[in-house]
Amino acid sequence: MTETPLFELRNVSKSFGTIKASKNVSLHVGHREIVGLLGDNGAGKSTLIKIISGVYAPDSGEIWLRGKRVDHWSVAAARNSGIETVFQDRALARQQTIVDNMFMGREITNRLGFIKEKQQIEAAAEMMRSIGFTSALLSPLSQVMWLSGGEQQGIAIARALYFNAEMILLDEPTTALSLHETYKVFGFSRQARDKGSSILFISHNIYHAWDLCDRFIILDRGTVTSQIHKSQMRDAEDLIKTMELVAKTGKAEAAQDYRK
Amino acid sequence: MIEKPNTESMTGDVAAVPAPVVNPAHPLTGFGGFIRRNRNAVGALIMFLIFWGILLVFSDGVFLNPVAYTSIFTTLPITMLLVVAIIFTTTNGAIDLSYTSSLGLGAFVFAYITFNSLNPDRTEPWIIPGSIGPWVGFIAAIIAGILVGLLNSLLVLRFRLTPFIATLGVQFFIRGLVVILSDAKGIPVPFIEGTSFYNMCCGRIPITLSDQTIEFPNQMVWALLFFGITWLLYSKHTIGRHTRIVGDNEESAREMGIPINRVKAFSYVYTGIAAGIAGTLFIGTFYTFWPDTGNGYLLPVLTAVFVGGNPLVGGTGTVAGAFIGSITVAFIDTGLIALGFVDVYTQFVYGIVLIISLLGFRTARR
Repeated sequence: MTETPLFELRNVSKSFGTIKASKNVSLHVGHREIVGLLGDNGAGKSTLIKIISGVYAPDSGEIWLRGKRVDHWSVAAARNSGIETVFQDRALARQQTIVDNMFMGREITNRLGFIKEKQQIEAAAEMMRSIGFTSALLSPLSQVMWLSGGEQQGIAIARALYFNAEMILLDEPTTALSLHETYKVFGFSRQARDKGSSILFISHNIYHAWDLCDRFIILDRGTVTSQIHKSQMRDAEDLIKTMELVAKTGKAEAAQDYRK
Repeated sequence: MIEKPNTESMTGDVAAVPAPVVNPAHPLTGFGGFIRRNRNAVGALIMFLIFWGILLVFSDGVFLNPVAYTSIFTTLPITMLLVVAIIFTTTNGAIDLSYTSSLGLGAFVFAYITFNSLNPDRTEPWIIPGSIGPWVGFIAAIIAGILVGLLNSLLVLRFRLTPFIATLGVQFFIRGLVVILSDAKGIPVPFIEGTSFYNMCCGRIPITLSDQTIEFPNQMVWALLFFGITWLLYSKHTIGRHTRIVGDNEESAREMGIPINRVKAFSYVYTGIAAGIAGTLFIGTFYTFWPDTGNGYLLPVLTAVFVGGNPLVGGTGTVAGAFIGSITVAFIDTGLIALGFVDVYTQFVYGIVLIISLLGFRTARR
């Protein structure tokens, strides 16, 4: 690793009561790469996402951004540093309009904090067009509660893309999506990477991750058990076998052993 | 996401999909869209107009006489301030019951300072004498309201009490404080009349019509101004937008970095400010502080909130509706007497009106 990574976690731990959700996790995300964060249910994927996006404060450990240690990490700090997240629950407010959801927490305002409504609506219409909301039934002023699951996911992703984030966290973005919609999500992700963003893609669907990612970080019961580059693997089956081995032995070396 | 799969969007090259930027024929744009998006406020307006129409026809000419409106508009502002301010709290999905006591505290602070600065036999020499007194009292009443709001915020946000319970406790606590501080005695401040503060706060603007002069109470001007500011904050400012999002889905708000505690604290403090100003208007209107000042406002304010089309679930609300609702409730108060209902029936009719209006909103929301 010659280049300074975009984002790093160093020895990060987080407990909820007696449950250790993350134990000494160290990982990094480089520039312009799509990293898959894989693991079974309960492996601690969502906890890590919430630490990276600033929702949870880690109990211990360090967060590094562009080679500098960050002291006060929060959602606002993360978003201001160019890290946008598509949460598993989509983080939408269902009774509010599409435009209010898109600019949630990052409204376009004048200096006194009054919202520039017209500008926001135009930008929202543009975003809706970019994700293929061509239906004449939808307006930026439509309430999110009337949208389908896939459309709501589209709003959540478009929101992350809109702010030209340097790193986008996608937490299970393909759950409850049709195959077509899933491919669209992949399209947007690649597009964002080609424009210079990095993506951390969380999934328990290995086939999805295999299609999209350049590198894989495998989590098991709160710890990183192995980090695998796509070139080390033949195909998705190979990756699955490796993961099974790692889970069985609980050792990171298992990945290398398997290759021999 | 779209009806027909197309290969361009599969590869991510979606800029090729043409669509109008804003559909001009969409049902949410234009005048129809305005009505649709503000249906609760429009519902409150329709309800008000129906009720007003009944009063105009059946009140035996009482509501055709401008004097009735002068009298209503003198006392209505006290309720109106509280009703429009509390929308921030209801939109958060919470309720603030402490305003009756904050009003009492504001009224006490204002009356106490005014009394001691204007009364020739004043007992507190440290209070600045002269007509600047009421101005100081006004500022002090607002500060008292802010402090009550901060106390509510502390209990709800730091100590995690349910808003209903916390603000109920604060209501009793502050009322007790007011009774202790005032020694359970009233404070008459008749000499406030004629001071510069009184002329500004509670004077009257004469409006000459062809055959008579009617007086428009200054209180109403301030209430309208406060409504305007509240509407701007609620509908046009980030604080209002964030209030709705927090009330709608707190977890989403947290994930998107909205300062939830600040948003909630704002709602309590804002109601406190309104109660402080309302306490001042109360003294300016009735010239006397009583230890139970404000207690009578608990139910009229809540009724006006609901009649104004505001549900108690978080995420939505309408300040304009609340404004209209407060007028409707004031008209009901006066109107029932004008319609000839004797006192025994007022609460009964009050209840019927409330139920009918709530059923109306329920149907409209379907």
